[in-house]
Amino acid sequence: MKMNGTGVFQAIVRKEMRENLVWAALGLVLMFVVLIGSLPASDNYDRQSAPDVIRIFNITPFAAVIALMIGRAQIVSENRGDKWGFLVHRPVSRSTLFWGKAIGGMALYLGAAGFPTLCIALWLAMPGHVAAPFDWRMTLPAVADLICGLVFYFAGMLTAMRNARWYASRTLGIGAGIICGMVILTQIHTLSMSLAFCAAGICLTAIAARGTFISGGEYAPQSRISRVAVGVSIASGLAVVGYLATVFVMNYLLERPPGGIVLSGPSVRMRYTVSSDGTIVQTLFDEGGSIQVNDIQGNPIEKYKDAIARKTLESGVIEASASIDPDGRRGLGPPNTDGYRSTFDIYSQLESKYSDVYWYYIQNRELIAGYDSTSKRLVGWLGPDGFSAGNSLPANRFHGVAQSYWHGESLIAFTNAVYRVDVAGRRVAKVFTAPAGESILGAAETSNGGMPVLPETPPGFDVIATTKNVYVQSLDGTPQLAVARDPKAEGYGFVSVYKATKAPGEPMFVLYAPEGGSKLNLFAALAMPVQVSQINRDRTVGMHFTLPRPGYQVRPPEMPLCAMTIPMAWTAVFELVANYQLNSRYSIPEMTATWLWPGLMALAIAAFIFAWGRRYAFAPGRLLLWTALGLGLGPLGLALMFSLIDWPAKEKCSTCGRMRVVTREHCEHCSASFPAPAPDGTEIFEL
Amino acid sequence: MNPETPVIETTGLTRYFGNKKAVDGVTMSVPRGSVFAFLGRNGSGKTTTIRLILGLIEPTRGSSRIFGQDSQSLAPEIRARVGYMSETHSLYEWMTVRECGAYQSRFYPRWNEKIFQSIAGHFHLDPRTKAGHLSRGERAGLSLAMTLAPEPELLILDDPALGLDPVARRSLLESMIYVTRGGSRTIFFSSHMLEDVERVADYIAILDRSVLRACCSVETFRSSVRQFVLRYSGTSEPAAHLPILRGLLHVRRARQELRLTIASPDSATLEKLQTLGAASLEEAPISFNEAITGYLGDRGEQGFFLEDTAELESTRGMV
Repeated sequence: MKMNGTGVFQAIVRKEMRENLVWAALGLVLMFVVLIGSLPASDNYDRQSAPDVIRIFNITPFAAVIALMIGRAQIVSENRGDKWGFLVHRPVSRSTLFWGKAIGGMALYLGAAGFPTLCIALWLAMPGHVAAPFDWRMTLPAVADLICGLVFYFAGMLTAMRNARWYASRTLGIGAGIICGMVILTQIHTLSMSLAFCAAGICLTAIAARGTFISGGEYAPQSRISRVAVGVSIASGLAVVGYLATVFVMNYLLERPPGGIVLSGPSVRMRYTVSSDGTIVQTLFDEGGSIQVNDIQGNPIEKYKDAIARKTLESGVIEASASIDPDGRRGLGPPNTDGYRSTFDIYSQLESKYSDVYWYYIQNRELIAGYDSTSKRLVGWLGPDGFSAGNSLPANRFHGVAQSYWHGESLIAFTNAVYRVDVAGRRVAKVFTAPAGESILGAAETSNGGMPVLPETPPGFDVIATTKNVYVQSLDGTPQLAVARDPKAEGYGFVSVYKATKAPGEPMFVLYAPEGGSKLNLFAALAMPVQVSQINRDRTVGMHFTLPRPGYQVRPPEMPLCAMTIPMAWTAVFELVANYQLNSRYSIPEMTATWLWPGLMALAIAAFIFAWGRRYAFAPGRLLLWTALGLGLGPLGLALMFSLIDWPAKEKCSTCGRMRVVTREHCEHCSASFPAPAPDGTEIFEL
Repeated sequence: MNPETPVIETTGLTRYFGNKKAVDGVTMSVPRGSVFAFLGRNGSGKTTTIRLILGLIEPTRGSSRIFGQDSQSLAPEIRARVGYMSETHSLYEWMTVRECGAYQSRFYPRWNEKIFQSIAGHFHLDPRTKAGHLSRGERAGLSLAMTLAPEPELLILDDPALGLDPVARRSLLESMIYVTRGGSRTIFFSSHMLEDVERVADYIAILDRSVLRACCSVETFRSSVRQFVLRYSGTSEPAAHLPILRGLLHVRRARQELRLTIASPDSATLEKLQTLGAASLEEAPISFNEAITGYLGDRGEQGFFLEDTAELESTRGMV
């Protein structure tokens, strides 16, 4: 018998689309409302920062809601009783039915979430709608978020399809989507990597949803790969729930300071700075701020024991930090600061304070564009030679990609020159030209945090870092200092120049920090020493210090209860690998706190799982696997086992009298078969 | 496939829902070309058994086969040969009658539009009406049309006449008979309509509280379930407690009469009846309907609110 496979598949897809159109329409409306609501309103401009157009296209939560809604609705309407029979009793495989549903549902989801996004993008692309340049690359976050929504779509199907003893555990599959969304929002800087991560999430949840659909919602009959996928999906949800529970307990029940959650205990960090009396000091700080000030040997300084005194530590010290990493424009923060979720590669917003015009350096035009905040139209261009009104472009352009530009500053650096831009006066002045054989890596000016300049504010300076030297010059361009870059700081990320203006002789220090060095491992960089050069009064390099850093100081967890929730596998990975890189040194109490409680908990859970598995007659391999998961994952492993497994009923064996599980053909104790139902003498059998 | 091979075969089929045993070790076979009625009281496990046979749910233990293939892995080609109509007459509510037929036809290469149209016409279904707007009888008609149009070799109907008025029920039965007459088509259906069962069924299987108690031809069942009337004369009355009688299904007790329904009474049982001290022992004719009702009722001697008719009459007198 030959089936018309394509026709059947098309029929299923069309039926699914028609049946769930109402959900898609609801999603479409929701998306339009959200997107229109997030458009920058002209009367909301604070004159401090320009409209952040790219943020409109960060649609992860809304795409997730729509995807979940459609995925769940497609299954819930026909996954039980006679509806299920009507759906699956057809001459097609359940896999075909599943993919027919999935293709129809995905098309609806992409239409519901994607069409409004496209409409808003087209609207924003038309001049006069927003006082900022528009580039289609700004819609890339929406592309990633739409694809990420597919993880939620399959998670929604999985949630609706699973038969689970605990109703709440059905929803745990959504955890895979939440983790995927969080990772692409906060960890991944490139679109390709985000898409790859989403693809992995889609594969995971699609395999889980398909396996669960084919088995009619049950876990045990699924193929091994499906069971693994369901297990990982559910474990993701449990991890999310566990994390939220820990945060809740720590922040609300135990009243720890907000943001003070580090799963292995609160951390204390250390940095070097210059004090107001012109010496280098260590400051220790935690989530609440500075807690101690030491000299560079690590001895506490008496006069800074008082919290109020610590607030005056850096009084009169002015500082400017510039990047010294040729690739240092990337990798310094979350994706929304320098990844595809930012406008970093498209434009940089310049200081627009107290102005009706927003100014942007457009990377591919190599010019500065001004947009009127009221008409939202282009007012003109700023080039190296000055202002050009309207659409006519200036004759000369800047050269190259703008290096690090810090919001609130007026310096803009290129590889060959540094310019000071006066947007209020619509003027541009070159303040530094790179000497032959050098390329500029970064430039910065001292800042007083954007506050008005007060009479007692000491005069600032500019710092320009090149491939060979660090230059310091006054704001009018007068050179103050030129020192060769410290070879010990090769690969470091930043150079900072400090000037203690209240100390005798106004001592200066050049401090190199490894953070932001793109060639360095992030954890390793935190533990690398800081290189400091003291500048003599004659502006020559004086004493040099190599100042070690202990990295994180991990306090022992204060509560064994908290420690016991941490999976041993996590402890092993985090403590052994990460802390090894951080060069941490453990004391015996710290080791005990880190390993003892999670270890005891893991052993107890493994023992419990072993006993429970034997009680339910697990096969040897299965028993070993779950015991190992209990040992490695601790409470997570235990919760996973109870979330996944359908526990069979037990009844007394008619042969040995012990309780046996009803799913096995033979008694696990005495190997007896189940007897046929007892006859009552009324039986009439002929066939 | 060997013509002698049963179309449906189950072996020790068992299903639990939580700790409740819904189907307990059902072993039966359905011969090819037969009309097979599956009977039992509400909640006895008929629908669960049908779902297990169709592979819609997993058995806890045991197995079932359709056309020799395990129900849990039925190939699409096998499913194409099996028509299934559920008791709720599931349909896509938003589809019109025409769309329902068109959608269903895409799946079945042997779809017979004439059958679909004739059954739809028999139930006076307007092709433009949405399924959600049909009456219960019309839904049953549409559902039957969609089930029969692919000309399945095996038809599994789960209480198809449930909730239908007599006219709709007759239309349903007529359509079934019209389409399935001749050939080697097998019909496996569950029903509470005993007249219908008697009219069309060749074989019956009876589930009693999740346990299969009977699986035989209608004739065998008729001849196996017998009713005996024991009459007492003078002051003699039936004993308060009857001895254990093998196969005893039902007892109706009056002042000087005992009416016993017994399944497959053997000679020992008949001898025991002789010892109950009755003035006369006769076998009373029993209808198929009574036999099934007796078989499906609670086993043995059961009291009601009032123990016998005399007590009932005295109560009336008081009123």
